[in-house]
Formats: sequence, C-alpha cells, structure tokens
Amino acid sequence: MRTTTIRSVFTLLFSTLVLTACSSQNVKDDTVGSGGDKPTVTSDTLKTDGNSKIVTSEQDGSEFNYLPGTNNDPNNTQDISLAGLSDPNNLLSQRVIYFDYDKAAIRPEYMVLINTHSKLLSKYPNLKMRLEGHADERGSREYNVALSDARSQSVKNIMVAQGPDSNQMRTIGFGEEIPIVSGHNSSSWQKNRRVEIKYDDY
Amino acid sequence: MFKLIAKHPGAVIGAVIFHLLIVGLFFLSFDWTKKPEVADAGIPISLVSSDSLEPQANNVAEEESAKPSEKDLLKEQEIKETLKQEKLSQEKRAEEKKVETEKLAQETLEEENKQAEKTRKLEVLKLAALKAQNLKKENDAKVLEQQKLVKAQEQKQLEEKAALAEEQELAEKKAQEEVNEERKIAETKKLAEQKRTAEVEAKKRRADAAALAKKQSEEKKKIADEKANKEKAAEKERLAEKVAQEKAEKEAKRKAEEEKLAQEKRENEQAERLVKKKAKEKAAAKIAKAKAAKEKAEKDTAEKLAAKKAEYQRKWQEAQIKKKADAAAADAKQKSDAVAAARQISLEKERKGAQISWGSRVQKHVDRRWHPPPGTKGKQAKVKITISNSGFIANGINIQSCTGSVEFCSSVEEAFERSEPLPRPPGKYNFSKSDRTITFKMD
Amino acid sequence: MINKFIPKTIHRVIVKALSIFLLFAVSLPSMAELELRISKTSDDGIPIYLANIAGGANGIIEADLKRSGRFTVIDRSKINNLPAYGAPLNAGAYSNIADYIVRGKTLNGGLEVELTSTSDNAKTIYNISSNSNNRRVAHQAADKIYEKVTRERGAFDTRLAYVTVTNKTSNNRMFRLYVSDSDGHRPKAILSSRLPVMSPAWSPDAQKLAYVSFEENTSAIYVQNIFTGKKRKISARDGINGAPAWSPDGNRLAMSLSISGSPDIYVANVNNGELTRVTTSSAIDTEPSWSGTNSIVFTSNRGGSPQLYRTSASGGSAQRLTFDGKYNSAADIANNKLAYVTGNRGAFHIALRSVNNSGSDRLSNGQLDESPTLSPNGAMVAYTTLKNGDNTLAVVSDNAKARQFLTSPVGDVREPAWSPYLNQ
Repeated sequence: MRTTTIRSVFTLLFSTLVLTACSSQNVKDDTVGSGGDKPTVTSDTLKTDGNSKIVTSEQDGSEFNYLPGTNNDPNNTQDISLAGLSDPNNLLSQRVIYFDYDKAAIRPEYMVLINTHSKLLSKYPNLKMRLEGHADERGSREYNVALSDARSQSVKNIMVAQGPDSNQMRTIGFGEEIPIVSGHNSSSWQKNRRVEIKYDDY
Repeated sequence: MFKLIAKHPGAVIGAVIFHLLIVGLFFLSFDWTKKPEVADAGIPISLVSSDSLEPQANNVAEEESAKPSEKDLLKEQEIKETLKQEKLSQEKRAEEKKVETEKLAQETLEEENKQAEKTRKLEVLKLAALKAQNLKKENDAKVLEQQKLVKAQEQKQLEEKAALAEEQELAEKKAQEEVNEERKIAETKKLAEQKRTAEVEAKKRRADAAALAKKQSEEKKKIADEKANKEKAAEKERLAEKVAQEKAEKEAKRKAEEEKLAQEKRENEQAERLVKKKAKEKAAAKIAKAKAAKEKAEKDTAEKLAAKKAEYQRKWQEAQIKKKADAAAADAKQKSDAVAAARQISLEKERKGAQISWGSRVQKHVDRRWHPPPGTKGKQAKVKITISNSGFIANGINIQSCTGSVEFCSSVEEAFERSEPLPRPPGKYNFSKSDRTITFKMD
Repeated sequence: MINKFIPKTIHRVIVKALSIFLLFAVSLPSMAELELRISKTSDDGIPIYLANIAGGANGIIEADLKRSGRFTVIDRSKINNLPAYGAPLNAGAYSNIADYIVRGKTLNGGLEVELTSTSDNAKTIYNISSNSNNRRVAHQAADKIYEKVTRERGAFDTRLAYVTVTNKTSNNRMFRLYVSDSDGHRPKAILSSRLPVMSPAWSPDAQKLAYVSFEENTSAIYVQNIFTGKKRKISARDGINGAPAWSPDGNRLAMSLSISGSPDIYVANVNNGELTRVTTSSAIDTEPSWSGTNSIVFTSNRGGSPQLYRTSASGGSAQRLTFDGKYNSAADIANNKLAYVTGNRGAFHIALRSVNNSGSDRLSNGQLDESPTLSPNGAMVAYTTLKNGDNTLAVVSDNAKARQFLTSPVGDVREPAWSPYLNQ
C-alpha cells in the first residue's frame, strides 16, 4: 500500500519531468519534421559518424509518419468509447507510439493520442491495458529491455496524469526481442522503437 | 800504380761516384727489405764488376780480408810508398779496385805497360837507393827470421808455415819483380792478397825483425849489395825473358805460375850462388821446402780463392734462390693472410648471421608466448636476458624499463618464464656471454 | 731489378697493411649484443603439428587450438611419413617446422595423446578417459596440450548457452535456450517459448542456468538445472526482472529490477530470497557482472549515455569505468579481463580491457556485434555478429589473432554465455 503511493508520487514527478523534456524537444522536432523532403537516411549512415547517426535517428520522424491517416486535432470531438476502439477512423484505433533512438521521452505529437486513450481508461475504470515497450536492435539487450520498459513507463505516466487509475495500466519492456520488422537499417529501427497499447480482451 | 791513379784522377772520381751510387742503392734497397735481404744487398756490387771473374774474386778476397788487414795494408804501402800512402789511405779500397781495372786495361797496351814497368823499376830503384839498406835488411831479416820461425813453427802451425812461405815468397817476388815486373804486375793482386792474409803474422814478425835487423845489419848490407847486383843482372835477364814471358803471361795465370816456379828455381839458383855465406845446401833445402810450401800455399790460396769464389757463387745463388723463395714465401704469406682474413671475415659474417637468425627465432618464440593484458597499446618494456647454451635464462629476467601497469609488466616477465626453454644458441659458434645476451623492446 | 724491387716492396707493404687492418677490424672482441623487438601486433602463434588420430579427435583439437589465437597449426602436408604413434619419433628433425608434435590414438573410448617438444624431444602423454560426449574427450586433450604449452588453463572443454529465435517477426516466433559445447557443437535446447527468453547466465558449478523468460507475459528470472531441466522462479517482481548474474560463490544472483521505479542493481540470495539493493539512481542501471566476490560492474546511463560503472556488491557509490564513446555496455568479466560492447561511429563492436586499467582493444569489426562472453580463462570471447541478415556466434581470441564462426541451429542466435570450467 505504501509502496503504491510512493510509486504514484514518483510517476507523477517522472511524467512532469518527461513532459518538460518533451516541450524542450518540441521545437527541434518540429523544425526537423517540417523538412519532410529530407533525403532518406539509411543504415549506411551508421558507417559514417556516431554523432550523425544519433541525430538521424532523432530525425526518424521526418520520414516516418508517426500518426498515419488520423486527425491529430486536439479539439476533435470524436467518440471516446469502446466502440471507437474498433473504428479505423477513430483515434483510438491508433495504438503505437514511436520513439527516438535511446530515448524514452514522448514526442509531442503523441500527446493527443495518449490523452485520448487515457480518457477512455478514465471512462471505463474496469478497462485494463498493457503498455508494451520495445527497442531497436542496437545496443545491448538488457539495456534495451530497460529502455523499452522506460518507454512504456513514459506513456503510462502521461496517462496516469490524465486521471485513470494506475492499476488499469501494466507496463512491460520487451527490449529488442520482438521487432516489427527484421531489417538492419534505420527505417526498420524506427518502426521497432515503440510502445504498443494493448487493451485486455480487445 | 799510384802514379797511374794520379794520372787518371777523372777515372778515380768516376769510380768513387759510381761506388757511392751503388752503396747508396745498397742502402736504399736495404732500407726496404727485410733481414734476409742483407745478403742480397751485396749482389749489385759484385754484379757491377762481374765482367771478369777475377776482379770479382778479388773483391771477395778484399772484402773478406779487408777489415782485419787494414793496418797491415797501410804498412805494406808504407814499405812501397810512404810518401803517397797518407793521401791514398782514405781512398785505398776503392782506388785499388780502380787501379786494378785500369791495370787490366793497361795490360792491353804494351807501351803503357813498359812505361809503367819503367816507372816501377825507377821507383823500385829509387826506393832501393833511398831505403835500400833498410828494406833489404828487413827483407833479409825476414828471410832469416822466417827460416828460424819455420824451424820453430813448421811443426806447430800450418798457417805459420804458409806465412813463412809467403814471406819467402815476398823476398823472392821482390827479386822476381826485378827480373819479371810484368809478372809482378799480373801477380800484384795475388801478392797483395797473400800479403794481407799473411799480414797479421807478418806484423809480429816485422816487429821482431826490427830488433834482429839491428844485430844483423852488416849481413844485411852485404845482402843488399848482392841483391842490388842481383837485380841488375835480373833486369838484363828479364829483358831477354820478357818477350817470351809476355806471351806466356797472356795465357792463363796458372801457366804463369808454373813459369814463375821455373823462374823461381832459377832465381833460387842465382840466389844460392850469390849468397855463399849461408849453408848452400841447407838453404837450398830450405828454399826447396819453402818452394814446396809456397806451392802448397799458392795452391791452397788458389784453391781457397776458387773455393771462396765457388762458395761465394754458391752463396750468391743460394741467396738468389733464398731471395726468390723468401719473396715467394712472403707473397704466399700475404696471400694466405689475405685468405685467412677473408675467411675470418666470412666466418664472422657467418657467426653474425647465425646470431641474428638465432635471435629472430628467440624473438618469435617469446613473441608467441607473450600474453599482454588487453588495452596496453603503446605500453613498452625493455628486457635484457642472457640465454644459456641449454636455452634457459641464465641470470634472471632483467626488466630494464616498463611503462605499463603492474599487470603489463608482469605479463612481460611471464612471457619469458613461459618461453623456457628458449631456442638454444647454435653450439657450432661457441657464442660468448654477450653474444647470448639479448635486449628486447616489447610493445 | 731495382725498379721491379721497389714497386714489389710497396705492393707487399700495402697488402700487408691491408691484411693487418682487416684482421684487426674483424677480430674485434665479440659480436654486439642483439636488440630485438617484440610487438603485440604480430599474428602468428606457437607452431604445432597434429598427426592424424583415428576418429578425428585431431580435427577437434586443431580447431580448439586455433581458436585460442595462441597456436599456428601446421598444415599436415608439411611433414611426410611421420612415424605413427608408438613408433620412435625424432622430433628434433622437425624443429624448423613446429615447436611441438602431437600424436595419439583412441584408447578404450578415450584418447591417448602424446605431446613432443621438437626443441628438446621432451614427451608428455595424456590419457583422457571416455565420455558419453566423445567430443569432450578431444576438448580435454586440447586443454592438456594448451596448458602444457601456454602454462595457462585451457577452456575448450566448456559449454556455451545461447538463445535462438525462429520466425522472429511473425506470430509463430519461437525462442529456444540452447546449451552446446564451447565450439558450438552438440547444441541441446533446454527451453523453448513463444515469448522472449533472454540473458542466460551460468552458475559457477556450470550445472545451472539463470535466465529471463517472458513466458508469463512479464519478465521473470528463473534458474534451471541444465541436466534435470528442473527450474525455479527466482524473481518475478513488477516491472523489469532482468540480467541475472551469479556471484562467484554461487549463492547470490545480481539482477536488474525496476521495483523502485527505474531499473537498479540488486543482489538476491538464491537460497533465502533476501534482496539487497546495490544502486539507487533514477537512471537505467542494468547488466551487472561480478568482478570478484564483492564487486559489481554494471551499465548505467546516469551520465546521459550508457557507460560502465563499478560498485560494491553491498552498495555505495559507483565509479565510472568507461569514458570513450557514447555507448559502452554489457560487461562480462573473467580472469580479470572485461569484455564489453562499445558503440563507435554508429556501429557496435566488442572490446576488451583489464578491469583495473582503462586501455582497451577492439576485438571485432562487425556492424552490430553484441553480447560478449569470456571463456573462463579469459583467452577467448564469444559474441554475436550479423551475418547474412541473422546474428550468428563468433569466437575471437583475446589477442584478436583468431576468429571463428560457430555452427549453430537454425535461427537468429543471440546472447551466448560461456560456462565456467566444467567439473565433470
């Protein structure tokens, strides 16, 4: 009991930290994101420069649509209901959050998505979800487990801040063990660095 | 003789220069060469006068007898020419040679010879006139002395006999000179030589003779008178004999000597007739003995000369052979030295090569057994070891410097411990301790 | 004659002077002492010749010795008509070919192996008794030879544990935990799961493996006996249960737990479950590796990027070990050597250093090399490297002179763990 309170206090603190980190990164990501026609960065860049590699990985968003085919308007008044989970046009159908390389921070464009899911949890207190974190193959495996776990924690912390009970969310870090795609290049890696939202029974 | 020299000063000076040149060359060559070549040094001189064998032989005789008889020579010359002696004494050896060669040239010129004979006669006569008494006394004294000495010494010393015979010969020769000056001229060399050889003894005898001379002055005076008469008679006879003798003398010396012996007999007969005061028979016997002794002596001297000549030639040949052999040996030695040096160089090269190839085997051996700890790039150690002939480290692993961690430095030490036994030094070369000492720079 | 004489003399003098000079020049006291350089960069090993042994044990021994980076195995064609084992051997005759000659024969299911030094003709004979795994007999022979020659313990008769994944991007993916010989042969799966299996770790007695399994949809640490298959759940706490590492005494397991919110290093008593927290940072602390009985090296991103740190197993402040590069992680320690992953210009390589000294050597050149694990003698490092799109097992010698790719079962191979010396 005591541990849970400490934990919730910590998560609150952590989420605010993450949010401030995100806001500071907003500008950068936006400017990077505006350059949508930047050349495709491939794994070849790995061979050139370590620093540039990290930068390019942060730029993964420029060529990868983190929120494909959805209305990202924060003022949209979609139906936040269980039915919405199965509606392809509903934001709730989007359940993957992507991350930068070696980062657990939530990119700002995912705040609406995370809040939407958080509202659903608040609306249905019995609804439970798993936040499954993943990492790309780069780096050591146990470190990636921790990194992917931190990613899922990041999502959870934002959600908890919106009101749902923390027990409605379970986090898990799978590290690099369950990739979406098997390629050994940056386009594969950016798809594999993710947190998947999985509702129990849905 | 010396007048001849005086008459031909140019020849004398030329001869002196020539000899000096030869002596100079002698020293030059002597300077360059080694011990055995001292003998060689004499050869050029003999070769210079090798036109005829006689001068050569004379040279040999002179050279061999010159040193011990210098003083005697002077005295002898005194007897002949006290006036010129001093002037000539310094140059004597060289001059004599020249005089002799000149004489040989003069012999061909009969007129000159005659003049020379005349001058000689005049000289002799003058000498006889001026110092006739002393000379004759001395000569007579010598004869007497010799007779006495012969009696005493005959049985004791062969040399003394010979000497006595020579002394008699001297007396006889002086008589003969009056009779046969030409022969004298031809024989002067021999006489001089014989005199020289006898001079040591003659010296002593003369000293004794001086004492005896005083006691027997009267007898000597008579003898001198008789001799003077004898000389006059001899001159007449000589003139008659001269023509025949000249022909004979032009032939070999030995024939001349034979003739001389015949003449001597005549002389002796004359002398016997003239000298009636002494026992004729005894004297004749003595003279006969003396003759025999003289003959023997002459033969001996001739033989000696021949022997000496032969010996000299042999020595010369030997010297030549030796010289050649020495030269060949020296060349061979130098060549063998060079070969030995070259061989040593190649041996050293081989040794050095063996050391290097052994060293590289040691290097690889250790290198393969060194397990440096990771991350020690740039760390260095310097290690010195001496490897025993059995391949073990002789005096410990001497780590002279090490820039790495304790771990690194101990890995260096362990590498050598692990490497034992190391490749053994090639035993064939018997490497010294330092040859087996290696400093390793390990990095 | 004189003209001839003088030049000849001069000639003689010159020749003599020359010869004297030469004699003097060459008869100097003795040769100079040698000065030689031994460089770590040379890449040949101790030359050894292995004669054929019926049954092919020599092939196994050869591969083992080669893999160590300390031997150069001489091609068999270099020696013709080597006397068969048992016949007299004049080893000195081969000293310019090899330092050692190995002959042997099978004997009662085991091996009799003879090691002869060509430098002194010294012979050593080893009798290896039979084993149900007859490859182990050859590995044991290789260990004997290795130890005799290098004077350090051989580690060929050891095992590797590793994980394979088939169909890794599909729902049919299958994780398997394998145990094989140290050369990758004779792999045997001891666990299979549709959910990730990770981080196998050998117990010091080489009987048990600790590992992470997500089989219950959450991470948990298990300990399983490799022979009996019997397994025990050691830790299944909320959040991460990862990176188990046995203490040298075999009584404790260090692990990474996120029960305090962020992953930290803990030490759990295997016998009574007692948990000791070692690190307290809010950053990621994981991948513990024991350095001695009371010291733990681990990965932490507390400084902004993953780096190696060292701390006491009972807690306290941590000392950073790595400073070069933006990514250093996954330490494995044996025989005072520390193998780890280092990110360098976008690629990941295996590096090796001493625990106590900061210098390091790079052992691999792959693009995404990871999961280094040291042989118990510290002479070799197994790791995974991408090959033809999949990860495969590689073994590199500590001096990087030798590298071998091991055979492995189908699938993507990952996270090898090199066993300690085997007692049996």
